[in-house]
Formats: sequence, structure tokens, C-alpha cells
Amino acid sequence: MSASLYSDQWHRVAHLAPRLRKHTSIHRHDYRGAPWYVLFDALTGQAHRFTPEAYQVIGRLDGSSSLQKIWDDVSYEIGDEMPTQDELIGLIAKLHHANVLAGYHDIDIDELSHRKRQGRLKKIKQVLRSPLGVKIPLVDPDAFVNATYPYVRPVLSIWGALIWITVVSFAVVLAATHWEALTDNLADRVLGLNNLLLMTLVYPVIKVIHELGHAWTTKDTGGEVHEIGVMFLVFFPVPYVDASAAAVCPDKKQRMLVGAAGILVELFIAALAMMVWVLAEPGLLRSIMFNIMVIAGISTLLFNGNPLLRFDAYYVLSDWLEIPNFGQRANQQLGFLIKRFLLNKRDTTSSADSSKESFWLVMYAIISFVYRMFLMVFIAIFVATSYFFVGVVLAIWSLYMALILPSLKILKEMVVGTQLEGAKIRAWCWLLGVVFAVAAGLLLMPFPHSSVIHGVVDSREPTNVRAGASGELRHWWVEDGETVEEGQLMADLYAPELTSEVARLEGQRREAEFRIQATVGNPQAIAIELENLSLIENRLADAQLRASGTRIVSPRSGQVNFDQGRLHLGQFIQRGQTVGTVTQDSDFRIRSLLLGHLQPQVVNDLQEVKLKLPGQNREFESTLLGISPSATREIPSITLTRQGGGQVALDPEQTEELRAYRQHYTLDVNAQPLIDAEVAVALDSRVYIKLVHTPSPIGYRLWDNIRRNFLSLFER
Amino acid sequence: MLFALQRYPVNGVDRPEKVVQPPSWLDQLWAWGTAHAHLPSALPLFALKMLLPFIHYYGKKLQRLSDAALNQHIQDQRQQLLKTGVNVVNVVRNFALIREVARRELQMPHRDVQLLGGMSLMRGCMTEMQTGEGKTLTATLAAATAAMAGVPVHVVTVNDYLSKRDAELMLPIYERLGLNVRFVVHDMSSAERRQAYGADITYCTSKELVFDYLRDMKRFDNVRSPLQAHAANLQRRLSTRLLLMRGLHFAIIDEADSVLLDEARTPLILSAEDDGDDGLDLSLIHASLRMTKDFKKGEHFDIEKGVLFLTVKGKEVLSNEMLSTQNITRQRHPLGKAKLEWLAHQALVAKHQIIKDRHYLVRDDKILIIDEHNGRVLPDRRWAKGLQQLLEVLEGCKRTAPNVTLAQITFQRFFRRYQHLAGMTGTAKEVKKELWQTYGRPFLPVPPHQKNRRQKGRVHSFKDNQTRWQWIAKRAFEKSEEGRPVLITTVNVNDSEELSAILAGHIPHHDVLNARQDDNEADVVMRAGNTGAVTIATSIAGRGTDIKLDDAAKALGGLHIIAAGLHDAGRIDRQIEGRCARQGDPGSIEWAISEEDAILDELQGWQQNIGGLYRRQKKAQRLREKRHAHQRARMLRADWKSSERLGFSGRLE
Repeated sequence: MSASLYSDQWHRVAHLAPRLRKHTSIHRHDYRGAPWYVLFDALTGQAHRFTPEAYQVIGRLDGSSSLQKIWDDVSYEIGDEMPTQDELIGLIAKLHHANVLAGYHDIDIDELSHRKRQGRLKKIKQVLRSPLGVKIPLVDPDAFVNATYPYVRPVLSIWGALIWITVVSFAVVLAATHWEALTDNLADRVLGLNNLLLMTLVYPVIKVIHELGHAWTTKDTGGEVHEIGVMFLVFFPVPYVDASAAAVCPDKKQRMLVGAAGILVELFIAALAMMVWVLAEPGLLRSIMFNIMVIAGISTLLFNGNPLLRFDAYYVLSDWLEIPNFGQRANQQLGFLIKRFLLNKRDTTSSADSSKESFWLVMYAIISFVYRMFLMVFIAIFVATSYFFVGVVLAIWSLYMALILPSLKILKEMVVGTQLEGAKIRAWCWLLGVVFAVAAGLLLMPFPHSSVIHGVVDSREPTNVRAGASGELRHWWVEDGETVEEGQLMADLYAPELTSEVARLEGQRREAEFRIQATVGNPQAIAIELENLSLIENRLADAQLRASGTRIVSPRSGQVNFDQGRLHLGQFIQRGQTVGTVTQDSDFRIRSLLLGHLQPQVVNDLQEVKLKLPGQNREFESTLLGISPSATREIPSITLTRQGGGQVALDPEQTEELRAYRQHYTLDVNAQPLIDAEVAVALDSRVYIKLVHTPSPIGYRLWDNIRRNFLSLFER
Repeated sequence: MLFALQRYPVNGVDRPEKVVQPPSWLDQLWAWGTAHAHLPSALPLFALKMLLPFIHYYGKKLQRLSDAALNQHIQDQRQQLLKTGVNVVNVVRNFALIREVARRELQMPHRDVQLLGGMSLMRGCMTEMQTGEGKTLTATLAAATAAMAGVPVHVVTVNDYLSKRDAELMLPIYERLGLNVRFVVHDMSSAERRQAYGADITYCTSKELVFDYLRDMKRFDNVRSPLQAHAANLQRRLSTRLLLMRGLHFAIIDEADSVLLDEARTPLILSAEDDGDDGLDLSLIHASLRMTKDFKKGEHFDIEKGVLFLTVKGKEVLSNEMLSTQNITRQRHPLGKAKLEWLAHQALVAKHQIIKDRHYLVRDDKILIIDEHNGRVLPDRRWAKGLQQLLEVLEGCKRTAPNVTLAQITFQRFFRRYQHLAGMTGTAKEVKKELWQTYGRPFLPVPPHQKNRRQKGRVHSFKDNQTRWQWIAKRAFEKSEEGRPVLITTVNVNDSEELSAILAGHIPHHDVLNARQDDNEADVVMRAGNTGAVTIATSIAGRGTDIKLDDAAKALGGLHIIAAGLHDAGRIDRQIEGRCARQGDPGSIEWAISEEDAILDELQGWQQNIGGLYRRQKKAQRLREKRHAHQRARMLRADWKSSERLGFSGRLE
């Protein structure tokens, strides 16, 4: 607003005549074609960036002219773009807080000590805010860097680049050719106990070289490095180096090189390690090389090489795009868009110069937020699974910092803040609208709810046709697939010993009858003989039964099935051996395994069951036959296992028989619809079963899932 | 401790004052929480009431003393206070003593409620006493006790007239107690002021106090702590003899809500005439007025919630203007775009936002600013940043030199620096939370000593102002014929004069009291209570105006007030109400509001048409109160922020 050209507070500063302190220097940079000025404080190593308009002021701070005069001069000089008095005061305040101004009045001890206290408080707050990223400065590496720089200097040239490219590309080719050997069971090797030990030994060395890479390149830009230390990322010590002096360098390529130096150095080391790995015999050396490759290659690219995190790649990207404070500006731009277009506030300014820039900034803001959330949850869970208490505290803390605190801040801004003055109702409408929409979508709106499981076609017991006696197969009366009636003869067995036994026993019976007649006068002897007779008759009946077993008849009407093919004629068959099956259509059912947590839902709320065959779109309505009352690890068919293309994981410890890793309930579904529709189904073939439940809001289901998964993490 | 009044060194160099740090978020949260949840105020009131029998007990003993013995007792009591400081026993004994002195000197012994009020002040509470309960007398208790204990007291009144009157009225009490009492009014020299501030008790207005404080601060320049002040004194960099005040010890603020809240919205600026030119010479003023001649509200500029701003179109017109002059003169415009827009803005503010006879009036070829809060002319006050000059050109007055700011401070900031702060008012209930959050002073209502006999009449609504004035004239005539004194209050100067013109037909001999005619305020106020008198006044006749009724008027039913329109805050209306039925007298009030009242501007959109006129006006009033409260809160925050940011400047104001 034009009225604020003059400031109410101007009288307090108009007479001051500050000057820049001697340890500061000003450098001109170009960002996206526009000139900027960087004020570098050699004492603290801090760099501050200013616009050319601000430079007009800063350049005039020589200790002889008062701010009033400076403002007048600057206003005359730059005309339309003249700073308001408030802006000028803000600029001077910023410089004052950066400790680069001097010479305007007596030193105010109170103010100084107050500022120092605040600075200390800020550091403590910083630690509290991100307990997962505490920085501890250790040494000043300047002397070391100075001493070694001459030896490194030749590498920082076109020749160095050529060597780097040759070595790395050669290593990439090598890696491609040995891909199989490299990736074979990678996880086991990376996380094996021996390897963890090796890694902790190799890791610091590589990271120190990484940081030195930054230090040397910073030196190359003309800056100095005065702080190297350890940062505790999730309790894991990671070296860091303070390369802020590089920000002074006007050449963007050099600044990018400083940012990228660490990654380049590590990749180079990884490439060398690759070569050694290829040549070395299996043994300690080889596994050290492998570790070096993993740390220097993969982890570096994942962490340092990821611009979504505020590590090396972020700074390289920021330098490349010539947008300093990229992440911060991205968030600002998002805030601006929300304020300007959602809340319809006119008095906000965009921090992007073009719509394209705005687009990239906003994209970055959103993607990096999502990514950070993901990483945060991941780290919290990772820590929590190892150290339960610490992990839960950390998880709660990081959740608080990442989600709850910002929400509280937004809420505070909404309730008592001044920024939204005039648009508060709109802001509340939007906030409540979005919250309600999400809540309604999650908790009120019913969504179709179903789960799909795999099943196999199998058949009910007992339908086997068994041999009633042992004997030689003499004749088949039926063909495979023939329809038989109950009691119909299917096969004959030849068992001569059975006939002779019957004959023998019949002879014995006659003998026994005669004896009874012979001892008619002696009642005691008759009783003995009668007992003998009944024994023989029993044996005879048994033998006759067995003899009749040589005629194999169908136990029921149905279709004859010879799964293993018809047995050969003349083959000897044991009593009780299965020779084939007789099946009816009604015997078919679909058997499936149901995970434990799904069981109550299926029992309590099952609307319909639908069947689908693989590769077909038709769905068949079916019904549930039943669920086993108890859970089991037995698997009815290999079709259901992962190995057989199904969903059930096998227990890795039990390789001989089919046992599931987790407990399942057995679920049977009627197969009649499939048969009625005259679809060709074979025993043991796969069928998809869709269990349809009452439509319910998605929120409860999500909550259940999250809770179950979270709790299962801590199951021991 | 029920009463605790710390004594600090009393001299200009040490200047004890509280160093107020910006509140942390915890402080703010605490203040907010305790503002909403606290013990009922009946509890501390009960505790104070328990002390009344003791005061009466001592009072009875003192009554029996001869004058000489009383003087001796006064001496002893003062010694005792100086020796042991302020504590419960001393306060009780001293209150009894002051009450006895008041009885002997003024024949007005303090009533129980006044004693309660006095103790509440000693506790640093924002004391609410109904209008007309005798706050002036109440203040003597706390002021004299503190002064006898060696703590200099500033009794802050609403205007110069009251400072003088109260100081003189209470002088016998203080003199008998051996205390030195002086007052500060606007046209005093620095020597007189220094003497006045050197007294044990000083009666003054808040504005005089603040400006004198700023003048002192100006002398201190970069010296911030007492230690530095002593050093500067030794180096002869600081001439302590020229300092006016002796630090901020104890302030008793009359009409505390008005001083601490209503007036806190405008910062007080100490300025001097600018010797060099501020880039705002006559030609530029004319140019800015010419440029904005054709500007229309809603098209080129707009006013939203009291803030004027140029629209995009307005800015375009300006830059075209600039380009055309550039083409003619073939050289760069002497003004940048920003400055040009600023100039246009100021010109528009002068033309459209500052309204004659409401914000200022013209007298003797001079622009005089009217105080929005009490309707008085503010002598020697001028608008900053060229507004004064623009108005002078617009009104054809004599042109004065522009002024530059030397120092500025808000009441919010200033009064918090007092070591001890207490306030009295008739209307604080509505703002007790804000008083607690901003100043950390608790609120304590003291019950009235007898039942109020005010009769509240009905609210009369009118379509336009003309019919309202006609009705008021008729009504006033009727009432005055009955023999009752009538007070008609209007919202601004214009209204009062319009009404006066109409009233002249019915009652030729009425009085008008407004910013333009405030020379004989005391006489008018004195006459206003006579039988059949009719007085038209702006809110000038609000706080602190004590209209004494004559006996005939009392018998006929007391003062009748016709309030024409609602003011900015319900509290001001309640103050107007408080002019009648004072101290047990009878009285009545009725309201006359119109569709044309300016307060309705506060309503936006659909609110303009919903509900009856009175309800709409009340709603508008509430909205305005809320807006002002927001404004104050924002100002306070901005204040903290800027003091943090400007830490480097070395100057406090």
C-alpha cells in the first residue's frame, strides 16, 4: 500500500550512520539473468543475499552518511523501485542481527547479551525440533585442507573429469556384466551380521573422504572451510562439513561442483571398488569392496543424490536452477497460491517470477513434503521395531513436529493470527470444508467392500472305488468317464486262494455239523461242538465277503474317474487299494484358505459370493458352504501357495510337506453354479472367489488395516 | 501480600520504570487462560470488606483527637509508613486517618464503598465504580497513602479542567496531611512542570504525562540504563536539571478504560517543525490535489474498514498522468511512482476520510484537531506526513511548516512502564479481559452505595435526521417546561450545531457545548443542572462531567438526557447515561436514533437490512468495538515486533 512509503519508526533510525564491518565483502552474482549481491562475513562464514536495490543501500553504508541521506539518495537513484522506509529499516535490522554493522552508537551490552541468549535458545530449540539431526562441530580442517589442496588441485580440471568419466563408465560396464553375481541375494549380504560390522568400519572412512571432497572444492572456489563435524542422523553419526563459504562464488558451475563433489568422489571410489571386486578372490578383500560399493554407490545416490532431501543434490539443484533457498521459496509459493486464489487475498506477493517457475516450485513443495512424510514414517517405524520405547517416543515426536505442530500453527494463525485478516471466514470455510469432505469421504460415504481370494476345485470324500480283496486284476467292465449306476460291476479280480479258502471252510462246517449229530447223547460235547461251528461259520462269512470283494462294484451312481489312469490288467491289487473314483456333479466344491483376520468379517457379514475363472470375465453367483471352526496351517492344494501361483505363503522351515506360514481357516464354496453353466472345470484348477460384504466407509477399514499392521510389527 | 507498594529511588537520573519484555507465547497463553478462568471477583472484594470494621474502629479513635493531636498523629503515621512501608496495618490506619481528615476539612468522610475502592486501588486493580460514586474522593485514599509512604503518585485525569479542579478540590485533605500536591495543564512552562512533577502527588492528563515523558526521553537519547545515566551525568552529557519527571512510580488512572483502551489506538507523537523541506512544497500539494480531482470512490479508490487504498485503475490514471507530464517537460518526473501514489493517497485521505467538524474544525484560520474520544479540541496537535498542509490548502488556511517526528509512544506501552498502576472507571466490565491481557491488571467491581434511581426511557427511531431533530426539539421543550434540566448529547459537532439551529426556534436560551464552543465549559456545566436548562453537548459532556442539580430540579425528577445516536462503544453510551441520576439523585434517559446515523456504515451486505433500527445500530456498535479491539491487539503486536526489530537503533521511542 502506498501509504506505507513512510514509516512510523523512521525517527528512531534516521540519524544513524552505520558502516559495514571490515570483515565483510560483497560479491556480485547472476541468478536467472538478474544480478544479486552476496554479502559474505569472513568471521562467521555466513553469506547473505541481497537484491540490487538493497545493494544500493548497503553500498552506501560507509559510516559517514545517515540513513536519512541514504534513503533520499537511493530514492533519487532508483526512482520507481525505491524501497519504503520500512523496507530499509528491515534491511538494516537484518544486517544488524547478522552482526555485520558497526559504528553507530555505544555498544548496548543489554541488547548484545539478549541477542546472545536468544541465539543459544534458538540452538536448543533446533535440537528439540529435530532430535534426529543434531550437529556437533568437531575440528577446523582449514590447515589440513590448505596443506593437501596443492595435491588435489590438478584433479580439479578437465583431465580429472575425463579420468572420472572413464573409470566410472568402465565400472558401470563391469557392473552390468557381473550383474547376476552382484545382485544375487543382495539383501542377505547387505544385512548379514558380519557385513554390518564391516560396514561400520568402512562407512566413516568413505564419508570423511566425501566431506573432504566438499572441502577441497570449496577451497578451489576461494572459500575457506572452518567447521567439520558429526551430525547424528537417526542416531547414526554422519560427518558434515560447513561449505557455506562457497555461496560467495559467483560462478554457478563451481558452486554446483562444490555441492556435487561428495557424490562424485564417492562414485569414483565405488567404481574403483568395483574393479577390485571383479579381480579379487572371494574373501575378506572382496567383501570389503562389496561394502564400499554399497555405501559409496547405492546409499549415496539414494540419500545425497536425492534432491527431495536437503542434502547435496538439493543444493546442486538449487544452484543449477539459480533459485537460492529453493525449498523455502517452494513452500512460500504454495502459501501464496493458497492465499491468493483460495482465500482471495490481494495483498500477497508471489515469490516466483514466472508461471513456469511457480509450477516447479509448487510441484517441488508437494513432492518433497510427501516424500519427507514417507521417510519420517519409515524411519520412525524402523527405529521403533528395534528399540520399542525410544522408537515410539521418537515416532510420536517426529509425528508431532511434522504434522501436529504445523496443524497447530495453522490453527493459531486461523484463530488469532493477523496474516489472514479479512480472509478468515473464507479460510475457515476452506479448512472446515476440506476437513469435512475428507472426513465424510472416509467415515460416512459407503464404498463397495469385497475381498478376492483364490480357491481350488476339489471333490468331496468318500467317492473312491476301493478293492474289497487282494488279487490280480482280471477284467475292466467300465471305461474312464463312463457313467455307472450304484452296484454296477466295474472290475473283476482273480483271487484263487479266496475261493479255495471258502471251499475249505465250507468243508470244515460240514464236518462240524456231522460231529454235532454224532455226539447227540452227550450234552457237554454238543455245547463245545456248537461253539466250534459258530466260529467256523464266522470265518466262512468273512471269507465269502472277501471273495465277493473280487467283484469291484460302484459304490454310487456317477461318473467314473481314473485320475492315475486305469490300472493294468493282471496287476496285483492290495485289499483297500483305490482303483478309481466315482464322482457326481454335486461332489465338486471350491476350497480356499482364508486369512485369520478376514474370518470374522466373512462369518458376520457376507452378502454374496461370486466366482470367476482365470482368464474369463463371467461371474457366477454362488453360496458359502462353510468355514472350518478352527484355523490350520494345512494347505489343501499346491495351487493355493505362492509357489503354485496363489496367495498363501509357505512356511520356509518346513520344506517337505505343504504347511502355511500363517494360520488360515478353510472355506468351502459351492461349485454347482459352475457346473450348471457347463463350464469345463478340472479338479485342482484355480477359481477366484469374491466375497462381497456390505458397503462401508473406507475410513474404518483403513484404520483397521493400519492398526493390524502396526501391531503386527511388534509381534514377537 | 494484600497491599504491596515498593519504593524506588526518586530522582530523574535513576528514573525507575519497569522494563517490559515482549511476552513469550507461554505468557500470552497464561494471560489468555487466566482472563477467561479466574476466581469470582466477590472473593477479593470480601477480603477487603473484612478490613472495613478495622478502619471504622481506628476512625472512631481518631474522631476523639483534637486538631493538634491529629497533626501529631499524622506525623507519626507518616514516619511509620516511611519506616515499615505499605502493609495491611498501615493501610488500614492510614485510610482511617485520611477519612478523618476528609471529614474535618471537607465535611465529606469517605463512604464504605469509597474505602473499598481505595483499597482496590492500593491493590492495583482496575476498579469499577458506578458513575457518580465520587471517584475523585476515592483516589485521595490511595494517592495520599502512597505519597506518605514516599512513592510519588501521578493521578491521571481525563482533561486539564478536571486535573485542576480535582487537585484544588482535594487540596485541603492533602495539605492537612502535609503532602505537596500540584497539577499539570497544557499551557505550563517546563519549569512549572518540573515543579509539578516534583510534588508528592501530581494531577495531570494522560497526554501531558506522555509528552513530558517523551521530552525527557529525548534528552536521554541513547542512554538506556540508570548506570549509563549516571555516567552520562558525570560526563556532563546529560543535564539532569532539565529533566521533568522523576520516574514512573505509581499512576492512578481515572476513566481507565478510556485512557488505556480507547485512546490507545492512536500513538502519541512528539514532533517538531521541519526546517528542511520534506519534499512536500506547495506546488506538490497543488499537484496532488489536481491529480486526484476527478477520482471517484469505488472506481479509482476505495475505503474498506477504515482504510483507504488506490485501486488498480487509480494507479493507472496516476502513471498516465506522470507519463504525460514527462512528455511535456521532456524530463523525468521529479517524483517516483511510489511517491506519486503516496501523495495521491494522502490527498484522497484529506479529501474523503478526514471530515470537517468531525475530525477537525477551522478556527482563526487554523486547522484544529478534534479528539475523537471526548470531542474536545486538541491544541497544538497536528497531522503528520503532509495531511495538515493538504487540509490547510483545502480549507484555505494559513500554511504551516510540516513537522517531523521526534519520538512516539502508545499509551499501551507507556502505562505498562509504571511500577504500580491502578485505574478507576464506571465502565470496565466489558473490557476486563483486555485490561488483564494487555496491562495485567485485575478487575474489581465495587458495588454502589445506594440504589440507582435512573429511569431508562424507550428508544425512538427515525427515518432521517431532520425528523429526529424536530422531535428532540419538541421533546426538550416539553421537559424543560416541566422544569427539568435537559441534556441532549450528539455524536459529533455538526449534529450539535444543526440541532442547536432548530432548537433556537423553541428555546432561544439553550447552551451548546462542543469542540467549537468549549471556552466556558465550566460555566455551561454548572448551569446545566438548573431547573429548565437545556444543554446540547457532544461526548465532551461524557466522562468526568459532574452536573450538579439544584434543589428544584431534584424534586421535579432530575436531569433528563436525550441521547441522539449511539457512540463508538457501548461504554461511552453508558458514560452518557451516567450523567444523570448521580449520587442518589433521580434522573432519566431516552434515545433518539436515525437511519442516517454514521455508525450503520459498519454493517456490510445483508446485515444492513436485517432487524429493527436499534438492533442494527447495536450490532454495528458491537462490530465497531470488536474492530477497535482487534486494532489495539494488532498495534500491540506490531509494537513488540518493531521494538524487537529496532533494537539496534538504541532509542526506545
